[in-house]
Amino acid sequence: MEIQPYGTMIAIGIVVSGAVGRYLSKRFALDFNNMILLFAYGLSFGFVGAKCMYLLLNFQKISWSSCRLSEIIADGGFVFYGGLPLGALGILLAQGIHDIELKRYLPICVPLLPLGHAFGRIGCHFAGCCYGIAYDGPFAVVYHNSPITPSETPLFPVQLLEAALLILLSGILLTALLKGLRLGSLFTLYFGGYSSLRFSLEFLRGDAERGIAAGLSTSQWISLIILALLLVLHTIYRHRENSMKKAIYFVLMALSLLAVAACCLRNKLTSVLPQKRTNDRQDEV
Amino acid sequence: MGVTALVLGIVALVLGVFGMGFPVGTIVGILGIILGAVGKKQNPENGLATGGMVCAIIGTVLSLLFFFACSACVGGLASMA
Repeated sequence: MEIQPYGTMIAIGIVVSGAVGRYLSKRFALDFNNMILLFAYGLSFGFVGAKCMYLLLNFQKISWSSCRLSEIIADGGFVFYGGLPLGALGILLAQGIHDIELKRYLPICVPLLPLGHAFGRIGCHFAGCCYGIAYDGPFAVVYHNSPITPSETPLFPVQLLEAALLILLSGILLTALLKGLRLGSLFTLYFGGYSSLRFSLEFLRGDAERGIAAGLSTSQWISLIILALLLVLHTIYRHRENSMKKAIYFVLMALSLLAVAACCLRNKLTSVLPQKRTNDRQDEV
Repeated sequence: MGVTALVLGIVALVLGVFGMGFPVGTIVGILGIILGAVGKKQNPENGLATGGMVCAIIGTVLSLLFFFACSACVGGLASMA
């Protein structure tokens, strides 16, 4: 039985996030058993949500009649933005069933999200999904005999770049948490920061079959919606804490810088490759 | 609660070790983790709950290790489609 890199990286991500969560729960004098419950519910529901969204986006491309349901579920990838709402539902369920004081535990969970996600992205790099545009420069990645990635073609390592930026985001959130930033500002930093980097990095993705509408990918549209919601919330709560305003400004700055950098980089590199896959599966995380 | 967690944890561990973990082993493992954590909350000295949780965590991790990579199955499904 072969050990699969994608699942391995997911497992490592869960273990590393758990270890950091244990350190933080001790630091803030919280019960680690409650953290484990929030993890278990949040991750379970999150993975179900991510898988459901993946199946929904690929509904017409999957041969439902010729494949077993277990194969369809076990195969393919996940869509991160599909996992977020259901993961949140799982956490609310854990709060209700096990009487957990969410306000005390959620701030600790926020830096762990991008940390675990980063390992998932490294798994994408090993699996070959979510690949980058054609690129012939430093750190270019070449896949051989891949069923989903253009073979023998140097590609931009967009999965690794996203993993690095997610770890950076996790570090920023951890620092903010230890400096006493409150939950609302932490959420603003996380959602705004991730939406910014996701919107920007989508310009460097080469798997066009993930879904494009009006020039932007599905994830870019979702990122823009999230950023718009954050701006609305900022307008509503603008008379409240100053740290929320600073978080919003940081996010807008990050979005501007990252989006401009990504567009400039894309213009310099070669254009999107013609698709070489025999089917139109997509494995977005 | 502790006994249930231990049983589920052992089942997840066995399924994970023999590479048959996903998705049954993963689901059983997660249930074992939840019940183990609840057992430990009720009684922090509950050794059965701790043991069950540890087995369940290891079983779940092993199940994920053998989780099919995106690329491994796409080719198979493509040939079936």
